[in-house]
Amino acid sequence: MQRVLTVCPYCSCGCGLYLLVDGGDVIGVMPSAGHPVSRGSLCMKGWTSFQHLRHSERLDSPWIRRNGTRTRVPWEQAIAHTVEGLESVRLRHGGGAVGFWSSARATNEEFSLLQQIAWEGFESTAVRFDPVIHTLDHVPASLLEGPRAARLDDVQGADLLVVFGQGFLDHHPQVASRILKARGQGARVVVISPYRDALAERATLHIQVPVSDDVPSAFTNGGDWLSERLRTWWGEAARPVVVYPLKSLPLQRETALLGAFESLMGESGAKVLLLFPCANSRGALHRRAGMTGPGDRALRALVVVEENPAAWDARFRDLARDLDLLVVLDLFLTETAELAHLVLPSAGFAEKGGTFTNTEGLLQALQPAVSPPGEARPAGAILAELAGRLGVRQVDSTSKPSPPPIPVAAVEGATATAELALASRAADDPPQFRHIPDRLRHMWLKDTLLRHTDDWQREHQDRWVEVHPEDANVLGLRPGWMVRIAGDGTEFQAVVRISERVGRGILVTPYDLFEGLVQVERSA
Amino acid sequence: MAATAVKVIQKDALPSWVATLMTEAVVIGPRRGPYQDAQLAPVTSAQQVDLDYTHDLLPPTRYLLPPSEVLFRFQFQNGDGPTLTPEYDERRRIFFGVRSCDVKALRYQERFFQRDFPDIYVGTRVRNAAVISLACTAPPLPTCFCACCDGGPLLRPGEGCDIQLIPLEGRYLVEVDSEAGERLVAGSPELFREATGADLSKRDVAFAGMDQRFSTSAYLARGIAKVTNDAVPAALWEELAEGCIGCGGCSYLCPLCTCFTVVDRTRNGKTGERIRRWDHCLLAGFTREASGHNPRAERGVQFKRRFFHKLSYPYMQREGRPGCVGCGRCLTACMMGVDMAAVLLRFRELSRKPKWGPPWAAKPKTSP
Repeated sequence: MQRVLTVCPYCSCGCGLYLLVDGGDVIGVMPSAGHPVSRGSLCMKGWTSFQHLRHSERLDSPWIRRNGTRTRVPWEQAIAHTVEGLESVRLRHGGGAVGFWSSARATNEEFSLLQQIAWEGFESTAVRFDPVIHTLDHVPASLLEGPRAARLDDVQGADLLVVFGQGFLDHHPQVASRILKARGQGARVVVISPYRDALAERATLHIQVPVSDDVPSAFTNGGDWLSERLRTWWGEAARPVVVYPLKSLPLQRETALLGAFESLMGESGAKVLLLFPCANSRGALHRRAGMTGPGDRALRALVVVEENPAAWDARFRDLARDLDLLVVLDLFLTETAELAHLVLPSAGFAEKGGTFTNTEGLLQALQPAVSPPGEARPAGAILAELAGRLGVRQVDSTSKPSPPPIPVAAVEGATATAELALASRAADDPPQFRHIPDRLRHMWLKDTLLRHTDDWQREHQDRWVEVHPEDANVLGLRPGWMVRIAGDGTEFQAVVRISERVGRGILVTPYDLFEGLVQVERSA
Repeated sequence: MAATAVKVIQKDALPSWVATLMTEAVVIGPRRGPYQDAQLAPVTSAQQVDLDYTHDLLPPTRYLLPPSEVLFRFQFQNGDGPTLTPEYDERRRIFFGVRSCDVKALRYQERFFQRDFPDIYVGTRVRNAAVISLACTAPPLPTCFCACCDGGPLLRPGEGCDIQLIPLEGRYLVEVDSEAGERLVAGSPELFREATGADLSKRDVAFAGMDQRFSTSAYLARGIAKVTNDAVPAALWEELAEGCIGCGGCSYLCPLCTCFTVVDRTRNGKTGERIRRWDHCLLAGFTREASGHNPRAERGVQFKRRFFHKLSYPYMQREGRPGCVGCGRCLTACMMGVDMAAVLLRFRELSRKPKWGPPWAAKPKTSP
């Protein structure tokens, strides 16, 4: 049993974990005891991260779809088809009609390659890394780097913690662990969130805010008694730290909140820990070039790297059906891969090298421990081959001229966050809610973790939705009833739980269920 | 029963001995990895062995019951039943420099897997393994609490190793405790000399007052009484379990945990393999029945069950010892701080009464 040190592919904490390798197979994982993030522990995501690698459904050869049927093709042919398809779109519609999307489980090197192919091969800026991170131009650099940017360990050393949002125990357990350790050492912990989760239960103070309310006001308004208390505590604190998971709020309010952080930090010398969602979201932020919204009909060809927008975005499905060429690189036959003209099997995190940048900005190396199954190849190798065929100079990413900045359109895609009041509902118009997944929206986890990790599937079979008692009353719901929840392009059934831990106008569901604007009605 | 022979080897002669051992079997020895992590891993050069290591977070018992293993491969042909090809791991291994607590754990696992239904897979590995242990003259880590759990720091003769090494200044006392151990020493006679009275008294000095050197205390006996008598209030189980996020780290890394699950991996439905993989009791799916009924669906009950298995007297009787050797791995693995030592400390608080004052004053202190 050999150990190969690599980085956990799930949240942005970036735990150091060892792949336990025997007979050419990853037979398990374990945390590194000396690694500054993991410190000898992992969460369930990390502990089960090896299970999808040898799943029966792993793609092991390229596929091509012709006349509705998929057939296996040799790599040579798959690459040739991809190159021809992209070139023909360029000839007919121009390079700008070629788009590239990637998930935040791609490495920094893969991001750079994608960017180079897009920019140097097609002069296209339709590059999008990570569906969550593409609208982060409003994040002040001073909150990400420099003396005010907190490291994970600053959280444990804090004497006052102001924590925004819920679900840390699930989506960033290493942060939750440090918050609770600080609490154990006597730090004051203030949680500001609409959902009273296990961490909020254990906080010194939980400020339950309605999701439609202006969260920054609870933080900055002088008149509010809660913020008065917060202000007093703030004055007494020697090492205050604010923890905020990015994209918890709609763009405008997040911008306002981050602005409030900035001015507060200036006065008090407090630190801010901005949490990115996925393993390499921060790397994506540094490397993204621009993006094209999901509804952009100008796109004629799209290369998608290990991302599955078709699973949750109806507009993407329409776009995909309309494309001249959709190429998907993935480990599994996802909804997006189902729509693809070409599916290229790619490698899992334990099967490739490269780097991830964690939420603190720590650059960490992945190490390949085993070979991918069958003919699958690391996405980086596939992209490098494409770049070669397209005649793209592979240059050092630092010396490359930057593409022109593209204004970030007000496209928030599937992460739209409109809130609608219950009162406005008509009889035949079911009420709409803002939905908060119990854990962050790691959409790209769906395929590896939620669908192809046995233990995770076994553990998270229950589909439930938590509703505030008054909302349940309005809807006529009772605990244990099955409801149909319909949203933007997807729907599912779930068992009702009624609890005051949820604010009014909010639905909380576990991880893998749809997020966005949802409607609720009773199942027939 | 005394060890059959007590010899001495100089520290600088160890690599030569390891090199000889490497000709006989795969030597699983302590090496230093990235981030100064100690690892008991296959040694490829005798110089890698570092006996000044602290403690490997992965217990050596995971060589007997690996995180996952192929039990057999199967193949369906022409509508016939499947052809099964079992896979046994017959690699010969010498565990070198294993800590005392882990030796006890290896023997616990051996007993567990040979007791009612002899497990061929574990049995084959046990049969092909020799154990050279390393006694601790000081707790290697602040999380160690073996002295509370009959887990170490020194093995008595007959407690499960083939050879025990005891570090003295510049040399190791070599207590040979089995015939297999004698053979391992006999392979390089020039490296060993007989121990003298001075060596033996050095050993006694090294272990005098050892109990006082541990910084973690676990109060295991009190915990056993509480759990066996079901004297832990349900509310406390629930409170403790609320802190648990069900990651499973405590069980995956526990040298005494034996639980596993079985999954099949298939290709085209015609060929495939049956895999045994580590599992743990803090998951609802661990006990969910085919009907959907789950006798232990809530974390509080799962948590209680785990500690019941580790600490209650009926299990002690069956397994021959308490279910904890005090290796301290769960103290590292649990990011939420509900590990064995923390839980036992809470049990201890249950029975602490003030010297005077009303009975309600005996309630455990809550954090401010």
